[in-house]
Amino acid sequence: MRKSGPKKASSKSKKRTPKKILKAARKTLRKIKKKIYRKRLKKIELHKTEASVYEPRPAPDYPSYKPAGGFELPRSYGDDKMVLLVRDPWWLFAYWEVTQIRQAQVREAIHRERLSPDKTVLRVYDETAGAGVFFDIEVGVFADNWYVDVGKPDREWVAELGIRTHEGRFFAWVRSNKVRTPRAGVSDVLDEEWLLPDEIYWKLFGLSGGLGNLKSSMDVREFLERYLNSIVSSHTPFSETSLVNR
Amino acid sequence: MEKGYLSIILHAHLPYVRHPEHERFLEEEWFYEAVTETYIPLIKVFQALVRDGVDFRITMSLTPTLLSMMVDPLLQSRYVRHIERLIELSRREMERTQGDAHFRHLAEMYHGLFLDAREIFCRHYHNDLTRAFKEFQDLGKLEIITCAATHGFLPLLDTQKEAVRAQVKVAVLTHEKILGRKPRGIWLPECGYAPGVDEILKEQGLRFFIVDSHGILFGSPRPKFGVYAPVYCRSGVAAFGRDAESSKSVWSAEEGYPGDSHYREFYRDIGFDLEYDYIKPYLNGDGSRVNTGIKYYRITHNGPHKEPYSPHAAREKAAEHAGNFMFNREKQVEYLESLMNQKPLIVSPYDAELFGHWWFEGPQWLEFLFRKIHFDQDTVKTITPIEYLERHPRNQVITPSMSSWGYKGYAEVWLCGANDWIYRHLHKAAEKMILQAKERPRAEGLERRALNQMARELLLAQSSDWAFIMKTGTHSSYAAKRTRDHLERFMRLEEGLQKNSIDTGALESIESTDNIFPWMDYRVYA
Repeated sequence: MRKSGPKKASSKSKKRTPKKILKAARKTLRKIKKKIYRKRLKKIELHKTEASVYEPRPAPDYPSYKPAGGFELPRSYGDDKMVLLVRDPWWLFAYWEVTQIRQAQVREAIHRERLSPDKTVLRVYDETAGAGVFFDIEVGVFADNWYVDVGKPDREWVAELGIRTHEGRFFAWVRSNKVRTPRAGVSDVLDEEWLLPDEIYWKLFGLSGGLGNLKSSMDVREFLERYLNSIVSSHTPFSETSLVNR
Repeated sequence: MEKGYLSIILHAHLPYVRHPEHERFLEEEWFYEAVTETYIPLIKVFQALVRDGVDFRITMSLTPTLLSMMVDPLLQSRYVRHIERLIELSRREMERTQGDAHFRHLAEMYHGLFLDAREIFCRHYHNDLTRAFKEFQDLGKLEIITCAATHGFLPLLDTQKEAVRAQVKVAVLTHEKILGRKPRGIWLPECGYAPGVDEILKEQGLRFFIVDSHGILFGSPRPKFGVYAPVYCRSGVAAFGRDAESSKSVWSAEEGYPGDSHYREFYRDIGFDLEYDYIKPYLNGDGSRVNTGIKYYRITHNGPHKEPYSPHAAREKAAEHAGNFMFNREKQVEYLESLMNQKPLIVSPYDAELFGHWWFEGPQWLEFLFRKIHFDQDTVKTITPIEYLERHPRNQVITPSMSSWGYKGYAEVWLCGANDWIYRHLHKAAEKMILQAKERPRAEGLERRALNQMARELLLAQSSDWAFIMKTGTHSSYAAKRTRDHLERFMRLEEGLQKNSIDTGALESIESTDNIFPWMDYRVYA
């Protein structure tokens, strides 16, 4: 956040009002109020400019590319697809698009089996757990993206979007790519060639993570999650985004 | 005989911002600011150290977008005008503060710094700062590594491997063209790593990269030495993990050196403090108040009241902090060496702009640090990552964990409500680019030009800077506009290509607007 500098000394002058003519006095008062008002307006404008510094300007006569008419990114590209992205060990992000044709195909398939469509769901499969382990999220007809709380690090996921019928059957419109949530903690896999006594390893880890010399391995394990949240990195706190007010 | 090593890595990056269509453009000033406040001060530090025979090693990433801006004649000439404006402003400041005991000497200090900057930029290096960095590289003090072409956040782009490959390929090519040799290592944007990225690095001849601490610590199998020795990915590329302790002492808002009360206060710039009409000619063209770089106060304490800055006291503080940092590294190295029975390596990466821009005394601190390390002790030696690998070629093989050095350690910063909308478009554009590149392997003439420009637009749209800025809020409309503009240009060209009717006029003006990577070959996507 931009901090503005110290306020300028006010330069409005106070006129001595003539005692006799009330009208003149009122007029003067109005003038004074106008000045104050204008000054206030000026300050607000300045602040406004500070807040939204980018303002599209009409370009002078420099050769430059100008798109014809207003350009809007398309809402969809006419594909049937879903993409999963990994946000962190516990969350995925899914975006999708489904054509009318595809939806019609699936609707027909449902009718052919004499079933009745119920909800639009995002079905998320835990591939690591083996066949048939999944959970459903009711996403509604208008959504085209979703943050999925899978809650489990170090597992593989695939998702499908489609219709679940009243009878409990699921008909997929689209299927996503497969992703893996990263680990959120130390691996249990030990390398025989590169073994270190546990005690020393945890000390090293504690040190690596900047947690100082912790006494026991239990202490270190407790700190793991807190460590992730305390990551000190670029852009904090000395970037423009810093909300630390000095 | 040293007991361990310290590898300081400075990541110097700016997104490609070049607006020939405007005389002066706010976001272009990021570049001029960085040159004046970070790159030239760092170059002065290196010059002084070399002159005084101080042996030191430092690693810097100079990203392809930054390198491209440094060699761009328009931005170079605009920089000269920029520094001349600052020279004039500081001269007026010297007049204005005549007789003022607190501020006159500061105005003079800035005037001197700006004169130095012009001298170094124009006379020493003929407007091309890449020569400066090359000089120190050739002297063996500086290792310059690359970064993805437009700083794309690779874990969110690797829905198509070709997209990641192109970011890396173009980076290596740009680095070689501008700096004269192939990079040996790479700074992954935001340290954004996902398993598989290393295979692409290997293909492109890169030997190492850097990850955040948990990238190594959560790797599998367990890393024997934590982050204090490099590890090899299965592909054979080495990964170096950040040391959180040395990071904290510099970055942390609570504990870090830059917050000391003697250091210069960033948020008291004359661009905001002084009377508008006086300062207006030196502000960005649209009249909004900006930082000029001339600041007269010190941090003092947490609160609105600030005392005048004292360069002498700040300098002493920087020396003290450098001594403290060195002392802590010595202790750290001694302790680690006893645990590891091997010489540990402490990897300390920072954004380059911390030094000089955010933390005015940063470059001084760095200079004191290198001097003290060289003259005052022999426990710790500075080193570059490749040099460490050469001394310790045998290292454990692990698969690092997906990670980044962004807030919360993964992808959240670049994948959240403010910016998640971009990915469907970036992925689609990449898909189209790959398809076109594969279908037209021998394009010539207009077709080739359109394909090359499409590749440029895609790369520019993929800059992680836009997503970052959208999340953090300032300049977010600029960032959104950049994303949309590049995607729009891409789509317009692709449409023209599909219909076999490329609008030459539009192509020419897009080419001159987004003129990055002149040697672009669209087949990096094939």
